[in-house]
Amino acid sequence: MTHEQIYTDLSSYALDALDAHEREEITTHLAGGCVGCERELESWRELVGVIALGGQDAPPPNLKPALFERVRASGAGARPPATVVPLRRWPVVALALAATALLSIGIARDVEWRGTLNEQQRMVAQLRGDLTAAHGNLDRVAQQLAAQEKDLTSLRAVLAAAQESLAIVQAPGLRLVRLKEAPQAQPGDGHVLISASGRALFYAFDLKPLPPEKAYELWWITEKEGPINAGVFRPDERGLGRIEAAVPTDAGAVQAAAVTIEPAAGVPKPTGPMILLGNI
Amino acid sequence: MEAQELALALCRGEQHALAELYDRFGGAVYHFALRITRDPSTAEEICLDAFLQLWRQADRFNANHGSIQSWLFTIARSRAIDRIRAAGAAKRTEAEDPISVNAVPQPDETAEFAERRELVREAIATLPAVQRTALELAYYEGLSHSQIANRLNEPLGTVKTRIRQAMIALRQTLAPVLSVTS
Repeated sequence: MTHEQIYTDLSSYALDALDAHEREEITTHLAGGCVGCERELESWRELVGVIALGGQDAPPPNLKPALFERVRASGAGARPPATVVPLRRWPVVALALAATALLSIGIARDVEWRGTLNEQQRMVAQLRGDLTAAHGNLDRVAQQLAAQEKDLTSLRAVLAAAQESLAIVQAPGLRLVRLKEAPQAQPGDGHVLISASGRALFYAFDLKPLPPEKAYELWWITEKEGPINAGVFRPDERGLGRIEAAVPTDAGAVQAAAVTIEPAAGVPKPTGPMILLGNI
Repeated sequence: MEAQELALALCRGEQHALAELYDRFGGAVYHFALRITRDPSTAEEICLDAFLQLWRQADRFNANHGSIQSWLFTIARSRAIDRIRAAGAAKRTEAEDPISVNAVPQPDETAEFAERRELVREAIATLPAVQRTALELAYYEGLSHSQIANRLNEPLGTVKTRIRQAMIALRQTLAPVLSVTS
């Protein structure tokens, strides 16, 4: 597999949906320390975790007590408190003798110890200062590294998108479908490039900016199922909207493409005003 | 308390943090495990195992690599998928969608969590049916691309494309709730 193929398959790797040989190949690649792929994989793993949030059931009422019963039984996780060793009851005489001896030694060496102690305290203070400075440097380097990794990941994503677009444009049997403003809509313009393999690249121009709660949504108008969502998008500051989509293959003939304004998360069927329309 | 603060409290061995995380995510983890395994007692075991692992290994959590809830659900999914693969239970004929019928808000659920859950549900519901079906077979039944292609009687390349398109669409739509993005 090329690096780009590996990068493309990371979403399925995070899903654990790859066949064994593909999985092993990607595992080996990641073990080689590819920072960009590691970062991309983390984002897919985050998504895999978040998808599960979609459902909610009342868990059985005994489950929470059972959890804490196991926590108590395992003892793991809870950090042990500092233990206090009780003082043994030494015979009073032995204790007094020991105290006297210690006092004598302590007085004799007091001056020497004080000098040593002061020197050690100065050394500790110096080491603490050095350590703090080293931590500061380390933090700065880590921040720079993180920023560079982020830039690299962004560039890889841009490159991957450009390569996917190029693949669609270079594929044989390419079709161009023009989209114009829908009836009663503001003037608009867009087009869709559709490859023979069913991959599509959509562009729209001079789109008006939308409030945060709204987005543009692209639709395939199909023979059997009517409008099928092809993805939501927001235009950039130049009013350019772009989206890649797969043309549905099992909903009968795709008769048209259209763009509507919908809630930001998108909707299963169009509800908002149609902006662009083009017959295929 | 924020999820990341709860993670730090877990590292300090504070059981109230585990209790709060359970109150916040326990229902979703149980539902998730139940959806995969279709067996209440197995779902309970997976739910317990996931929270116990979170408690035992809290010191391994790194907020730079993802959110704690994502980590928790990843643990639960991994265990649930292992169970059904071991049991050979991945032979069901169609992916059901209990999300649409069992999404019951819990009393301890925060408004933020409820909003996040709703966003996820909408994002999944918005996917084209063919993409959603392929994704759910991978996500909830642990099937590989090849197994999904066989199940749906579709070309392998079509299945791969559908799953990737679905993942791209979800990452785009759910960007506001992802703590790690590309």
